[in-house]
Amino acid sequence: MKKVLFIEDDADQLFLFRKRFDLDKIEVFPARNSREAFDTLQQLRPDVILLDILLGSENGLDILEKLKNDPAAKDIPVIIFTNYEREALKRQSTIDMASDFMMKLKVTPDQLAEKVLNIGGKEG
Amino acid sequence: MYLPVLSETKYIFFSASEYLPKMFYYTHFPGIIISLIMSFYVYLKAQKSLATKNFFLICIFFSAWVLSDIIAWTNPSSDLQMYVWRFYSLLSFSIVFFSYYFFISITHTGVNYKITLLIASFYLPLLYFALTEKGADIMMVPYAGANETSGYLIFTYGIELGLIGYIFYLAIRKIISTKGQERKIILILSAGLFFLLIPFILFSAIDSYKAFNGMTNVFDLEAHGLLGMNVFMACIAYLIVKYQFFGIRWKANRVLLFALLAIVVSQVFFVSTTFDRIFVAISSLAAVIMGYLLIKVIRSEEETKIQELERVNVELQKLDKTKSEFINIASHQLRTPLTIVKGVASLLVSGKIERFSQEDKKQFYGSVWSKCLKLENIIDDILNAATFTNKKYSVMNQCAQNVNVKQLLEKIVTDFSQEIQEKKLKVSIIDQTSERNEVWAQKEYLEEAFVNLLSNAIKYTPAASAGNEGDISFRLLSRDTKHLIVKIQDSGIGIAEQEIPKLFGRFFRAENARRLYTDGTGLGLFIVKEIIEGHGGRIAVVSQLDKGTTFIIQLPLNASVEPDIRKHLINQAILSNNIKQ
Repeated sequence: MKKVLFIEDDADQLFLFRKRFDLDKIEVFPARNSREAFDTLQQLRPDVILLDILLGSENGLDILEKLKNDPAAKDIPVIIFTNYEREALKRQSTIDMASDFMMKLKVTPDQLAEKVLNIGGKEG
Repeated sequence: MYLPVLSETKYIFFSASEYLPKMFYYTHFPGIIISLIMSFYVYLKAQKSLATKNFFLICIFFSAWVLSDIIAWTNPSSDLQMYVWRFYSLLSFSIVFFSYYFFISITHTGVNYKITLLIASFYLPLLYFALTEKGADIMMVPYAGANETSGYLIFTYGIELGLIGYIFYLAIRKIISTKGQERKIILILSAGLFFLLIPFILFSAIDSYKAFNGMTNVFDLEAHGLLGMNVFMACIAYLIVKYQFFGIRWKANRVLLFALLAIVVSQVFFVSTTFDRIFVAISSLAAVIMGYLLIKVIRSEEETKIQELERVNVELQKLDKTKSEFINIASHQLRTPLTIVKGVASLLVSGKIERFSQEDKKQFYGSVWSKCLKLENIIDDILNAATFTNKKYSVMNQCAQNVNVKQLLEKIVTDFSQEIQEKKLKVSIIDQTSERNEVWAQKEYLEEAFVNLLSNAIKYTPAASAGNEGDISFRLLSRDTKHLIVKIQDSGIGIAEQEIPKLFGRFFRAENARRLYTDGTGLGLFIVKEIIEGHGGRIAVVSQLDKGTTFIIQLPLNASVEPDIRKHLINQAILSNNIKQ
């Protein structure tokens, strides 16, 4: 069963995508900020991390840098999942650390679930 | 051959002898002055490129040549005359050589070093003639005064004319192969070089030939050849004014004035009586002063224009920054609610929605509904912000009515009761006015303003807890008989002092507010200010970080006009009809 660490502070979005993941038996571990995310990472190793950028007082790109500097987490693929346009953001070199960049509005819950299922082979 | 007699005419510096070329002063002094000033100006002001360096060297060698010529013709010491004579060819060849280099440095992307080196190799014999005694023996006919040998003359004029021919061969090829503005520049440049080089070298060669054959002692034609330098400079000046040649920006009026001054001032050298000299000096001085004043006036006009342009530019940059910030915020804010709407719709379309429980479905639809409302709000805000002028919210008397502010506030607080209860806040309305608190207003606008203020107060006041009462109060005060004061006080996060001046700006959001709520548009308070000012009122804010914020609104009381409800309704109908059409 695939495990997703979903770093997102918008309850409505989390609910929608999480429910859709349930259909494909994808296990979701939500985190609203970096503290919750790293707490979760201490207990398990997800197959993929979905990362929002606008997280209350935190910037997802800072979290991305922290993840990539963490020996235990640095090999986990990170998908930036935001409604910003890639080009409109600064810190392009940080963005390059992620394995993918997806605009929320451009993917349906089905497409996101499929994307997660295809990460690292069919069964993780 | 007729020789002009210029006997004993007194000029500045010396008297003319019969051997002095007729136009000596005209041909020598302006050229030397203009070329030196131009070369130093260009050297100091222009971008340091190969072209500017070459131009500088052309001018320097030209000036040196002319200076040598002045010394040779006018200095009584024959030793000195003979000495400078030896450098003539070296200097004149340098003028041609750097003209060639100047031309290719402008017109060709790369310099052909083989050809340039070949041409430069002619310097060796010239240096030999100029610097060594043996060389000087080859150059000069022994015991014949300032007479060169025929071999020397043929060699020097030969290489110079040959190189000039090569320059114009390159120029013609370039003119044929280019077009448009580039072609014009090369054409003007070539014309300038043509006028500089052809008269200078060719006339000199002709006079030398004549002198060699004993036909003349006065190098009149050669002297006239120097006037070509002025034409060359005029061409360069034209290129600078018209095409910002050398990267210099010149105004035509300044160049014109400079040329005028050069002509007027140089007159001093050409007059022979004291009276004329004084007269010319005074008129030159007058021209200088007039010119100075003229340029000053033009410059101050220009500076005013430049300042105005700079101011407009700063405004535009601010506007542009605001615009791009807005697009950034707006695009994100619009996409976020739409993500939910689209996501749920996609599940409906694919039929996967049926696989969810009733409870989940209910929550999906609920969030679609609330995101639609949110989108609607954002769109309204954006459209308002995009279209308003300051008049947008001003009271139109036909749409206005007497509004009881207390009643209006009570209604708004009731509308917000759910949010207030959720956060366990206490919202109170305290009326401390002695008279009725009615204002002449467009009710829907005034309501929008107070709604924005209350919704902000609720948003940015933390939920009531042990250390925090969660108080929000509206206080109605009358300071005088003409105004109503409304104070809205909360115990919220406050506003940083440095952010207060920007608080009412379009799209502005305070740092701490952004952290708390990521999806504001930064338009709420802007709209409040527009509405209050549109009603002839004023708004101010007092705030302290983490303590709370108080907005103070002053609205004019105007009970003298009786509201005409019927008329108002008719007008509303007309207005809404207009909007629909």
